[in-house]
Amino acid sequence: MSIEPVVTIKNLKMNFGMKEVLKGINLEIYKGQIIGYIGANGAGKSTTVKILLGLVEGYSGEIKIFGEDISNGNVEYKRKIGYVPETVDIYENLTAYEYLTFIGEVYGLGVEQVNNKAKKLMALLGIEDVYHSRISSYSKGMKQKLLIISSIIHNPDILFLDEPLSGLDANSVMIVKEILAELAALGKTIFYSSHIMDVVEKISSRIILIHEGLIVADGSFVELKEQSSKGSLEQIFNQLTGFNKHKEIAREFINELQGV
Amino acid sequence: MKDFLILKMLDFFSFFYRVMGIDYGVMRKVLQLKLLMDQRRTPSVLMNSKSKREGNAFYKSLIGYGLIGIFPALIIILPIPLFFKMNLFSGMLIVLVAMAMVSDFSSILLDTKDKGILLSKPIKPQTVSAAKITHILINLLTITFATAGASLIVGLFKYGLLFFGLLFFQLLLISGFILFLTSVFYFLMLVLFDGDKLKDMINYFQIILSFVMMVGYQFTGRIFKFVGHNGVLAFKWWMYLIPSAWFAAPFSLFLEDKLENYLIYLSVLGVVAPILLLIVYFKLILRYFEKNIYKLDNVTAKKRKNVEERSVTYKKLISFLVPNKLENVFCRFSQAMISSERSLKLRLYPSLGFATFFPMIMLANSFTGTDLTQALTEIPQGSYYLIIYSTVAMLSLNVLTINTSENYKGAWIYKVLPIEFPGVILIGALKGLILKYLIPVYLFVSILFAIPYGARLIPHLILIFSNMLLLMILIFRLSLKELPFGKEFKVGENSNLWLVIGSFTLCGMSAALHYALKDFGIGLCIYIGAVLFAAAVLWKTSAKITWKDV
Repeated sequence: MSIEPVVTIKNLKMNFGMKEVLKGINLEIYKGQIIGYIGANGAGKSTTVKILLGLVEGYSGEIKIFGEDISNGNVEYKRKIGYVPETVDIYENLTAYEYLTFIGEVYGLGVEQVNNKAKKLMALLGIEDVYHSRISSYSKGMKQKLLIISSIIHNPDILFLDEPLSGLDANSVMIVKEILAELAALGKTIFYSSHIMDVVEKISSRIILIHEGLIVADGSFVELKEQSSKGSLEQIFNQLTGFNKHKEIAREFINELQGV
Repeated sequence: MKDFLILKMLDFFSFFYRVMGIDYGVMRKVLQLKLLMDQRRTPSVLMNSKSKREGNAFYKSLIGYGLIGIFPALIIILPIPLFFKMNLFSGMLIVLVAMAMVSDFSSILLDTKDKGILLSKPIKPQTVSAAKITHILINLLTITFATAGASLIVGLFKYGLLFFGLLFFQLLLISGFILFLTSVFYFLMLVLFDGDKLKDMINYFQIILSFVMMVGYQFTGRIFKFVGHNGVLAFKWWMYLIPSAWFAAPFSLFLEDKLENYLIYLSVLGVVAPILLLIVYFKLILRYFEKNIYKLDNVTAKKRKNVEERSVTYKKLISFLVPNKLENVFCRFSQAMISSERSLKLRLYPSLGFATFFPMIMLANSFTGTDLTQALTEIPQGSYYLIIYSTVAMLSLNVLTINTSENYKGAWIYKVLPIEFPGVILIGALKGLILKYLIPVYLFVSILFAIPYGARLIPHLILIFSNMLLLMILIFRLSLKELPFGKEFKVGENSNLWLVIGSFTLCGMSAALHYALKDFGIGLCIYIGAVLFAAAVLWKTSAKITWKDV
């Protein structure tokens, strides 16, 4: 039995001016996977996600989502996608109510339907009090929760999450991690990038490491561990990105600060 | 870092800042950074967006101000008495500068964005304030001199070097006067009010100010009535209350050698008032301005109970006017955006105020000296309703206001949503603006005009309304297609001169055609039909915008 991948990326390349950010990414993502997409700052993680969503154009290569090439201008695939961006940029002069019902209505839900859903989801994440307050008055964690709600309110089949846990308190991190696991169990696909290796290590069913625009590792944590003979994902990450000077750099940094 | 010429010029005044207790070195650095940022355009959030334009829009807009400056320059050529002439001239300049101040620079003055960066460093708040106000002053002076450039040259040839020197000095005083006066007003409101009330008050203030400006300018024109047969402007005590008289007096004093007492007092007022305001601002206000400005970020969490039911009702209500589902969503979205964003309102409301009051003042101006009952019987005999076209021209200019937002980075959401043609976003948002803000102003003005005319004005009102819808969609079609609330507001980018000229020319042409056909019932009907048809076709076809166009 052959399973169709939900996302297929073939030889994806992207340049920003002279700089080659992605140098040929090949990837197939299957239903029910939780994929941790990791890499150093500037490795091209967010760019990959933005390309998949159509936020960045001008790439070369082929991307298929649900078997359909995304460059053909058909936007229907976006109905089945949810996205949490890396930075918390929201129209924050609106209230959560206004923002969420707006998004829900564009996805074709009725006002009452999306309103009820939004209210309940906000309550479950403990932010129902501010449902009618302007988003600009929220703390960073509250905004992050709102973004998470806004990305799943239409019950998408694939979730692209860029640093979804940033700013959340420990309890909320546990809730969100559990939600992701449950969603994957329901057959949803979750593709997320993070810098927090412990979290990636624990919740991902598959880890993809991108380094200088190329995939350098792809597999479950156990598989990666076997390949590299290192104990933690952090160490694997350091090894694969060829980084082993953190102590020296830190020392030099402190010396510089103290004017030695 | 680039050292700006203007900063080197500012160095001559560094003693002033030091006397006022401002760390000039730090302020200069902050200012340098602000000027540098002015020169750079923030990249569009949605990359490879077509609307990227090269160059600095502010400097481009100066060409527009230079062209507008031809009008005041013409006044200087006119063969009328000097004191009166300079009254007209400074009146016109004050209005231009004040409008720029209210509509463009208020958002800079009341900006709270750089606070987190600057005030977390060991910088005194008054230094930040001083940098801000100097930054605005530099921009305001640039605009003033661009506008008065033609007048300076004309004056130099007609009256000689003394005139040139006087005018140059007066331009500095006028800019300073407007800047510090508005700043003092804003400060008073910052102290007196808080939260949403404060934001409302600022908006009211702007509307009132635009009204006062309109009336005041008409008042300057009214001095005509006091010009005697020998062409000498008789002095009246209330002239002390008109700033344009302060700035006009020195010209009479020095160029015509009229050593009249009132001219001396007026001239002194013109120098003392701006300097006094400047000292008050720097000595008393500066220190507290930044401290109070945080209030603008205060959000009073309003408990709105019935907001959910109301929005459901409202959706049903406007679905008659905006039947397309997605357009309807974006229509309500844009209304929610406009009504909750301060910087948008800061620019929209004054212009709505203008559009409301302008025709009334035009009308009042045509009937000076007649009493109300007499005027009400005379108005229906003329075609004064054509004045409504001036409202239409001004309202139509707002079509592009909704392109900007403080939270423009939130625009990624448009691309993530499953929207095939972004035309629905643009048209929907535009309809939101028109339905909630522009049409009510039009209706208000129409009703006022309908009072003397009665029901027979209705076909004319329909025609003017159709022309408005046509003009708005024309402006939309001819301008760059940009996603609503998708870019940062930059001074000068919205004051598109060609838009103003185009809008007024088209309105003038429509009004002329309207006037020609006003007495031919059938002709008028055909005209209404044609305009409605053209507007309907354009509105229907405008939504076909692809992602490649925006």
